[in-house]
Amino acid sequence: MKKTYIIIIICLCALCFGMIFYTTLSSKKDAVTQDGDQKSVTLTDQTGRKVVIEKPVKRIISGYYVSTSALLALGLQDKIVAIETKSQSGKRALYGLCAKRLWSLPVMGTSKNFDVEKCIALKPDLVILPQRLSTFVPPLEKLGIKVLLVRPENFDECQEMIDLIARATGTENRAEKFRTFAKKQKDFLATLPKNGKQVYVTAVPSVIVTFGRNMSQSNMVALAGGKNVADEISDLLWVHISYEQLLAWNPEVIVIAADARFNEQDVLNDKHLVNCRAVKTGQVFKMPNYIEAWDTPIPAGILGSLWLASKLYPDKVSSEYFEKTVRQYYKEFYGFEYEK
Amino acid sequence: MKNKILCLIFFILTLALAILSLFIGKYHFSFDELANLNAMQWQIFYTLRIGRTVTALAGGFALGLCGFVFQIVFKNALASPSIIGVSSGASAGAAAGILFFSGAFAITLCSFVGAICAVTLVLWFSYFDKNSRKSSIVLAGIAVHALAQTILMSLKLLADPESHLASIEYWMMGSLGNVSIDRLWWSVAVMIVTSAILFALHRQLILLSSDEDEARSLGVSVQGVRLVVLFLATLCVSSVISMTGLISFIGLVAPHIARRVIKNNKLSTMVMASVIGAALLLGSDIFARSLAKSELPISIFTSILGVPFLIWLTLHQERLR
Repeated sequence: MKKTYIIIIICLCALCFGMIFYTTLSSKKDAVTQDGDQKSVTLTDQTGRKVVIEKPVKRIISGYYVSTSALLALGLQDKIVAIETKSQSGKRALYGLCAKRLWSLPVMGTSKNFDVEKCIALKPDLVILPQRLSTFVPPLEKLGIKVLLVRPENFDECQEMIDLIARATGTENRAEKFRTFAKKQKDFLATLPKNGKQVYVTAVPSVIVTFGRNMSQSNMVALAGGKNVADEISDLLWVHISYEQLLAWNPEVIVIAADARFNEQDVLNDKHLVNCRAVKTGQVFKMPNYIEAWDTPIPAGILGSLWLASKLYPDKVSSEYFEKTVRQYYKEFYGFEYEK
Repeated sequence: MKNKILCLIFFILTLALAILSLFIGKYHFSFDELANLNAMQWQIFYTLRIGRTVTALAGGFALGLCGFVFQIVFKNALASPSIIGVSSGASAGAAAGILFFSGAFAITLCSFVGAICAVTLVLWFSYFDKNSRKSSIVLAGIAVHALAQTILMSLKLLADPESHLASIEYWMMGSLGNVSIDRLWWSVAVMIVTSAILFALHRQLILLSSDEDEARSLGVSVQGVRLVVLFLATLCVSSVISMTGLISFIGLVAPHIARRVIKNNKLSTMVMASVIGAALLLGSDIFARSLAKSELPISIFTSILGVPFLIWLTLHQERLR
């Protein structure tokens, strides 16, 4: 009886060692295949990490809606194998218009969490994550997965992100076209008055949640020739203020976040804002969200500034010019005809 | 005599803070323009400044009073309104309001309903204890707290981190920034009515602090009074929390300061606890709205006051017995 147990234990140990040995051998085989392949490129991501991409990138996971939008702009939709959560059917209109297959892809996590095991199972060549998910990088790197951390907090950083992804994927030509388009719009917007109209931008949750000077929304207002009334606040996230603070600023224009549940009428009917300049003059606008939220740090963010400029200075930026630019942008970079 | 002077000082302090609260804020008033009935200035002064001051005064008063009630009922120096899950229930309700509805009123209503559901569950669970022990209420409170936390965690998981999660977290830190005079009347009405009834029951309440058999022999229905005062106190606290979010430590700290001043456990201590609660909340709110460029959560300041006091209380518990 005792001998039987010993034999069983030896067999089980042998099985365990065999499995470990086999797994190790398999991963070594993969490594050999990778070494045998094409030229490598060394990149510095937006957090200063050096990343060596060793082969043509064929399988990409994007854990951030901003980088997903950038991948689509660079024509890489067929290489995406998984995307961020809350991007399923209907939630991101852009995907439905130019890359419906994305809706059926596996989802990897939110901006607070990332499914490492699911990611590894998909064997990506490249994973793109926002900086706030940097804690998930070490387990991925230990398994040889290349990770680029991105931090597009304003338009310049968004352009850097696009260039970074382009260099990793060999799509520099498209990135250059994007840069040319964005520069043309920026040069046009630079002809508008600087720090002209006083603008207050609401965040999604409430009219008394806003953005300070270090957020991309402040950058959007400045490009459009306005001044963010909340510029004195330097917080890096949304800030809660009071109605009193909003009335003290007394903005000329109020811009409502694209994804906010409230709209222009709610703000115009808000009893606390009756004496606010923007409400008195009816200068309350909600950022459009037909395709993307242009008030977020996405590649199409320049369109947000253009839209705002058409509201602040309608005599200088006509709505026809704005609509024409939007159609041109989505046709050229995403391959579909924009319909309002 | 010394106690009377100290009481008077606290009353004057509270009054002074209330007046200060009317004139401190982001909007700079000019007395000339107020006198000339400038529309914007009057709107801010009446709707926002007075509203905020009344909320801080009434809310702090209610929290201090309810803290006293909870410490008497549970005979525990560390008891506070959150002991029977009212804070967790209100948080879960507010999270549901933020996630599924929009507007400040919806969030207030949902948090109030959440708090009431929590305390109703606690009282219902404790009803099954035939011996009517107060430990049953505490145990039921722990269970309901855990349940409410589970619901809250699930709602946070569902919340979009790009939009609503931050709002839920901010609500849980407490703020008077969203309060205005047209939104606070029903809440203040509940606070006034429940506080009045609690003061009316002060004799029975204070008898609960003594031995239960002694209280029964004096004609007090211990179980009945306990349940009624707990329900009223929770209703009172719920009306505060639904307006302001979670405000920590006032219910814990104010009764202790009052006892240190008055040195007994009578009606005068009950009143003083309420007045001190009002002073604490007024002071914290003044700091919260004026120290930084944005609205800071009020619980930061109530915690700064409460934590050292709690540590002191823990270290000196033997001496206090």
